[in-house]
Amino acid sequence: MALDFQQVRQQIIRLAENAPLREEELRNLRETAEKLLAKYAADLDHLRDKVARAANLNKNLRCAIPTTEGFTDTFPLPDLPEKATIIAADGSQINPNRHWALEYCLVNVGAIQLKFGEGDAPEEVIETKLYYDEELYSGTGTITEGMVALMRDQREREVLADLAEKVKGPIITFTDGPVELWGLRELKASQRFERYLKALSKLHKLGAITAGYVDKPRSVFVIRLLELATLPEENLKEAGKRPWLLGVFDTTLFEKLLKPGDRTALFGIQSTSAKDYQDELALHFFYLNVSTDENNPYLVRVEVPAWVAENKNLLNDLHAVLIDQCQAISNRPYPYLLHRAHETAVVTRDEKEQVDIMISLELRNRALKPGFRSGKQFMKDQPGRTRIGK
Amino acid sequence: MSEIRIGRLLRANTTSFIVGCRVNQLEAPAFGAMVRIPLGEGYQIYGLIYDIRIDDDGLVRQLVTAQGVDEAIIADNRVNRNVPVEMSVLTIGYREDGPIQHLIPPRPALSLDVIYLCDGKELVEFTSAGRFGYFRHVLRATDVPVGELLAAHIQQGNDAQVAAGNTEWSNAATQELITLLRDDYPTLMAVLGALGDAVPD
Repeated sequence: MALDFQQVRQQIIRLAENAPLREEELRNLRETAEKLLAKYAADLDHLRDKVARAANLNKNLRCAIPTTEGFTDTFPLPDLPEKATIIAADGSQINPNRHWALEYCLVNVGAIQLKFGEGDAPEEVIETKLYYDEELYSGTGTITEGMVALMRDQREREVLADLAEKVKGPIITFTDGPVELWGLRELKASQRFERYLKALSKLHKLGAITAGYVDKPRSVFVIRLLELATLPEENLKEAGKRPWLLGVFDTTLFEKLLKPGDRTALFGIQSTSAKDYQDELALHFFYLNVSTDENNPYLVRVEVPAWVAENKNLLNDLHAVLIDQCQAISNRPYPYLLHRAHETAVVTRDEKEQVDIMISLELRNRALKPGFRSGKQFMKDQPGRTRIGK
Repeated sequence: MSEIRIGRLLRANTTSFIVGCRVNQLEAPAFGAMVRIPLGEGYQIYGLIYDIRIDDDGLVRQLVTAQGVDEAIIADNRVNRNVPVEMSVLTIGYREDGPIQHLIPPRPALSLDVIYLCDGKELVEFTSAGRFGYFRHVLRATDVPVGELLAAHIQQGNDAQVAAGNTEWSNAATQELITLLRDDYPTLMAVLGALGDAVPD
């Protein structure tokens, strides 16, 4: 049965009818948030202390932590470093699926390394790892898609650290997505989180810059901080539990403030996982306007560890290089090297089928029978009508 | 024999084949150049390059509209990115344990076979064999700029033949074309016009 467009149409009409009202509500909320940002812009010490006290009362509190930079401060585009090695990494994976004939998963990390300022073609690196047999099981059962995604993130950072180790001079590394990992419980159970932290520490020891580039962020760290700022002291235990600036994102706060190429102030991150990133690994972020058009700001979020956040030279180099990378591609700013790392890493459906054939052949060569597709998968694989989703 | 590799075979049929190479390998081959595919045991296929095609993709489209593309990015797209240059080659003859034949080869080459550029000696050897029988493959081809292709080939063949001491080859080739095209005036004029530009006198 195809989509029932009559039903959808009725809902679309209601959506459109409600849109002006919702837009008005959001505008009011945005204005409120902007006023709060200006009001608390310099109240840094007090708010930092308030966040610490609120975090003691609510372990799940997730918000920004003020640093020494005022909320409304902006930082213009610095000069590019004369020379640096830029390394971007991205990962792709084949998730295990019980409906397939063969149960395995695969993590593919693509990295691309450019000697900035030399004009030579960058070097591509691919690291492919197949996981099978007991590697497919975690403490609670079969490995999940979320866990494979974490394994990919861990390998991305390890590949960056390994490549950085072979390079002399200034090094700037970045990945797509935050530095902070999600779903830590599963990752910690497999001890992979330790490896991730070790890779971060290795980058620190090498003096390399590392960062996570979050495109089109929908983060609300600063919004939650502003809500906390308005919370009476006696209600501090409610911090983060009743968000009321819903629908307003951090990016909307800073869009009017940042000129093309500018960055916002640095913020720390208060979250349940923050305690896992200690000292030089403590997580920070800033927003960056990567647009070249004064009238159409495009803000991204950049996550960095403390050793980068606390060193102005490193921070400026990262800031300048990210803007330079984004300007390489017209219209839709995105770091060129991150796109290339993605191109290098991505595992296509055809490649997945090739891996299936290679495994099946090896098993058959040893007189072993590969598994079989489920009936559901078999029917889905039939040519003809296809659909989006399950 | 020439050892200038210009690429590998992407796909083929008995009358033509497509060669793929990286952009940074594109210096050697030229429109109208003669190439060969050695297939082992004395069998090799000859052809003329009649089209060189460089495809774009989404990233290249974005880059062309960017202001001032960095040298490293240009190099990256030419060296690393998997966007092959495609060369279309018209099959014009073959050799199998004997003299060169200006006939369609008995079987095409296979995927990933290596294609070499013919050097002057090979060009002389092929163009001196028989009586320009391979011209009919060119004249019969559709979607091929026949006049320009023949002009480019005769120019390159003439250079090789003159270097080998044969100054009459281009005249003989032109006479043969006039004979073959005597009933097709528009094509004949197009070919002679292109030849006039390529091989003056």
